[in-house]
Amino acid sequence: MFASSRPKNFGVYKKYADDELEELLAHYEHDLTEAAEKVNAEHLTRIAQALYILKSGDYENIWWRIERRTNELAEKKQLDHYHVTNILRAFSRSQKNRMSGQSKTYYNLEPIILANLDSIPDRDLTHLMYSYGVRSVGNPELHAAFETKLAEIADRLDYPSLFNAVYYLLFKENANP
Amino acid sequence: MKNVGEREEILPLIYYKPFKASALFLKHHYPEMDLQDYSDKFWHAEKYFQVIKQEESFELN
Repeated sequence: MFASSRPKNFGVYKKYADDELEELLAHYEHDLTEAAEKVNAEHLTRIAQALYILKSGDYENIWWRIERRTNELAEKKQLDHYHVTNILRAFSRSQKNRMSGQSKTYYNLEPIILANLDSIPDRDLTHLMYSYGVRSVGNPELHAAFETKLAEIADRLDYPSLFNAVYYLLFKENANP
Repeated sequence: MKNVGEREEILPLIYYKPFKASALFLKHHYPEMDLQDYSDKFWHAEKYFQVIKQEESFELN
């Protein structure tokens, strides 16, 4: 037993890794808040993705600015479906899955999704479905479009996409096997 | 569901939760439905799934 190489301290360093990420974000907090106010769509998407991937539970101040800039760019029609998908994906899984962003932002981005529904890749589409499903937001037209599209693409989805699609159907309590 | 039944790959553990939930949902609302093929796909995932580890290690955010 004493000679065993079996690891015994799983997760011990997880806390330290978390702390280091928090410290990193704290260091760049002002830069990120300033940047998020005036960046273009591409960079805004990167900031949202980075914040979601670093999995911090804090920094609402940065998320607020990302959200405001998202709405601003959406009004100027500078967001395409790629930006919308990744920003909503970041919103819906951010802050350790507590989510950020107001419901009206989701409604605001709907027209971009509806206009590009056929050009969005399958997996991205399921991310969008998850985002709208988990928040229970979205107009009936959007959900009708999602359901029609899902029926079309269901046969060719892979497991990660099915993961999102199944969650979407469960949140909507829609049993259409 | 047809897609999952026909798929040859094993369901990865990190994606297990919604599939199990959907099987339970369908079983509850549609008891007459045949879920055999669908549930068989979770066999490996079910064997190794642990709720505590799910929270610590396999969580997909």
